[in-house]
Amino acid sequence: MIKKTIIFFLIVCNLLSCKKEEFHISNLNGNKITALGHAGMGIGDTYPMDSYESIIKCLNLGMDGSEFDVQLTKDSVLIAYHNKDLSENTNVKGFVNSLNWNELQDAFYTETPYLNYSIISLEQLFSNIDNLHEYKFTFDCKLYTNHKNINEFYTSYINALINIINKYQIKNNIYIESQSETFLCLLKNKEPTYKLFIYPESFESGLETALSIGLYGITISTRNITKEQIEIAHKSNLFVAIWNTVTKSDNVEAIKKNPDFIQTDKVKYLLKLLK
Amino acid sequence: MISNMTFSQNDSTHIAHNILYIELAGVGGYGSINYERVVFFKNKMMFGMRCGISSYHINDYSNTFNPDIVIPLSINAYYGKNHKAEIGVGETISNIVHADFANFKPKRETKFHTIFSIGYRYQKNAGGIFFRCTYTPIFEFNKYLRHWAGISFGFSF
Repeated sequence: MIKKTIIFFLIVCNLLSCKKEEFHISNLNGNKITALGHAGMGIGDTYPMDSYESIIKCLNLGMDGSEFDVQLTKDSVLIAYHNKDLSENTNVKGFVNSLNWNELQDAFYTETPYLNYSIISLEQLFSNIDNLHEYKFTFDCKLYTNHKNINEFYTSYINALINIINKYQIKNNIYIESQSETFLCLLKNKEPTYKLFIYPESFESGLETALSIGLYGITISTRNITKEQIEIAHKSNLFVAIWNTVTKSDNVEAIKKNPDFIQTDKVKYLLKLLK
Repeated sequence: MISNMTFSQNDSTHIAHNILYIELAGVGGYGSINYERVVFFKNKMMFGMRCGISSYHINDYSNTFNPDIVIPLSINAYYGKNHKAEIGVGETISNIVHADFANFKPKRETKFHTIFSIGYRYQKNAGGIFFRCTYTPIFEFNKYLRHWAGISFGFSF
């Protein structure tokens, strides 16, 4: 009798654990959430954020695409890199914008013992993705520079963005986010059809900026936005991308808020939930 | 072969020659499974040879089974009764899969790294629970110094 009870209990537990959580998604994105990796496989993965290996692994696992950080070298090459100073996690020192691309060719990430993954340019990345047009990418534009004329820097950055997007004909697959209102205004004036996102400190300031400039949406940490605020954004025809979904429960809570995009740090788990 | 290399000046003393342990962080990178064999002992002094194995990814970035392999090898000397001071030197062999920037296909590359350890270990001569805590600087690619440390748990028998 005891044996049968234990077996029954185990079977019930097993069935409950297999039950897939169901979500009723309502958003501007055709009631689907676009699942993106955060800089590839996310913070904490052994592949460094923004590395080729991290982004490709994310795509190969079945994600809709990936967000990654974009910076401009001194000779106007766009590269995928997150930090302000290269010395924080590579074997090279300085701002990306203070070095030429050939000075970064031998640079590698030093975060993890024995691993030496390289820094990659967007050109290298896009020229080596099979079925490129099947994926969505978000560029998180990091505008770190020592350039004396900031508008000149923004113009160079924007020209480089337009060149790479045109070269690979990926305008419809790209979302561009930035914390700089000025940068977004300049880009909007030059390419009004680009899908631009403000990346604000608070929802209120993001909503105000997005509406005043006429942006496509808001990118914000899941900790700084509620389901109700996402509804407000949707009513204003603004898409919402949320990030900082570091844990499994963060992903579940994020989905329940009905965003249009999630940039996750738990790639496999979000896939399990949404696919 | 290793057992034939075991020497002692007092064969009547029972010594647990084998140690199996898990090291968190340490010379295996983020962690490793290790076997160590005591190959020489005299009074409170012992020498052991260690071999471990570790990995970062079992499937490579193209999602194909293609594991990274990290093998720490070292010679350790330790002194003491149950509480021992330890010092060691060795080499880690890493065999890591990454993108070959010539064609962007997965490529396996073998590199060598010199490793050191200095620290404390709890190890009863007769065997039993084993614990160690070490500072493990690594000369990665025999070029860059990385300050690193590890904690090990296991048993000797």
